Amino acid sequence: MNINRENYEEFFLDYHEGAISEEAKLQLIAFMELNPDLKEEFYAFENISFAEDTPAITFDFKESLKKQNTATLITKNNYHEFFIAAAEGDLLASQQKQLEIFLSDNTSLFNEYQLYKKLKLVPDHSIVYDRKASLKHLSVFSLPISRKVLYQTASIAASLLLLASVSVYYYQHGNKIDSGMAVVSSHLYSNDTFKPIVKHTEKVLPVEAKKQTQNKITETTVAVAVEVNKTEKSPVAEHRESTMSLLASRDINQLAVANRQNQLQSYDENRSYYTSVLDLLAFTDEKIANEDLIVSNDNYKNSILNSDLVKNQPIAEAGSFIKNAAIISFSRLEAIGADIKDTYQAIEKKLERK
Amino acid sequence: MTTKEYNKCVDAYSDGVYRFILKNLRDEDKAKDVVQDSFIKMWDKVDDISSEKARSYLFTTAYHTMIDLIRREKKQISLEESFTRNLSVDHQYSDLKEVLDLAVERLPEIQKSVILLRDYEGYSYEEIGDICGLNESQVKVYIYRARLFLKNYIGDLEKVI
Repeated sequence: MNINRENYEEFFLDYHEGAISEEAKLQLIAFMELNPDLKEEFYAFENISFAEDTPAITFDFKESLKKQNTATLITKNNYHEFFIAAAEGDLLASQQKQLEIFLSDNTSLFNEYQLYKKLKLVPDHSIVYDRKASLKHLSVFSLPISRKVLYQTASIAASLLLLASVSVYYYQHGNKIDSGMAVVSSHLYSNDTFKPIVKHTEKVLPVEAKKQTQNKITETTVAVAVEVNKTEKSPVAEHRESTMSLLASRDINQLAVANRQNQLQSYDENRSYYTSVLDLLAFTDEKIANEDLIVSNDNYKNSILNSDLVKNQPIAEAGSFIKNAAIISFSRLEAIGADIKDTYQAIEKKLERK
Repeated sequence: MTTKEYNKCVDAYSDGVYRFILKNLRDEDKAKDVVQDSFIKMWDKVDDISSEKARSYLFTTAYHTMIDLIRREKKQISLEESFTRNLSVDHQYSDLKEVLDLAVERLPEIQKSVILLRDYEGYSYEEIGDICGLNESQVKVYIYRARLFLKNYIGDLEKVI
């Protein structure tokens, strides 16, 4: 084999390892004369050595890697490990005795041993995290339920609330604007308590007052009709806005009044119920606001009552809470609906007679 | 874990996590951010974490968040560099705690973390291994190395009055 620039490394190596033939050695010398640029590389080969000039590298912690071995004797070569192990509480009783004997034989190492025992880092308790409040989350109820269930509960409660409100709106504004029905609701909401207008006007209002009321009906009807034409919003969307506005302003009184069904359901009960609902809502304001709540018909009611959440809720308290909220809201809704529907029909008949 | 239990964890563990991270990063703002990130991560999984596991989860999360931060900022001390620092002090200190605090700053990141978890929080080798993603033997070796480094750094107990 002749030396060339493709295979010269092999010759270099053989030369430095003393394994080169005389013939090859002559070739190499001639090659180096012709290729002086490789001389540096040739001599660099000479400096490569892994066996010499390298300090012995040892792993200092062999004992720490071994399983507890009572047979290992403490010596001047490994005492650091024993001292550290003693400070860490890692020594067996027999090793601890061995260590004590070792120390009594090597008193000069006692200070070192003491030093190891003092090498414990102590936290500075004056350093505290001062943003704790920002990490905490509002805990609305002390119920033993998870956040997930709480969100679901809040979502359903909010949905029920909107469903009830939309139902009221439907009877107020639905298809009855042209026939003057809108005024009934405006009258209902103008007082602090829910009073069916038919009974109230027939029993209490004198004739003159009735006339004034009729004038008011006409004015309000026009005003409402103009408003509806101007905004061109769907009744559901429009009422959702006003409901959310009430929620935002926490006008509990008005919500309670608007949804009060009859004398069987006291004002205080309503108020208490909606206060708890609003507390939940406050907790999940953002989530609720971002949700596209569809509240329009019985399908929604049934979907909630028949949902796995209500039926199979594993946590009794949460399931009971949701179910009770649903039952109370829906029974109230039906009663409100029936009550208002009767009222509308009564007023409608009265207007037709006139 | 309920919201109430989560809030208790904030009171119980945020100081410890903060001290641990601050000692490693030596930057208050960054340490606070790491603590905040860790609690946010725990809140995201609050339904899946029991209160018994919360402390370990927090330290594990904080540790890995810190490591990510260090890597991002390329501040990790190389192993080679840390060995060259294996020098003892040659002047007097008035307080052992003071010199230990200085010495621990010079430890490689991993040794610093394991020894802080050991001394500050009293974690076992196994628990430290879980937090730092090491096995028990690795933790033990790192702690032993760190102790030896601290001892050599101080040099002689008599230097510390």
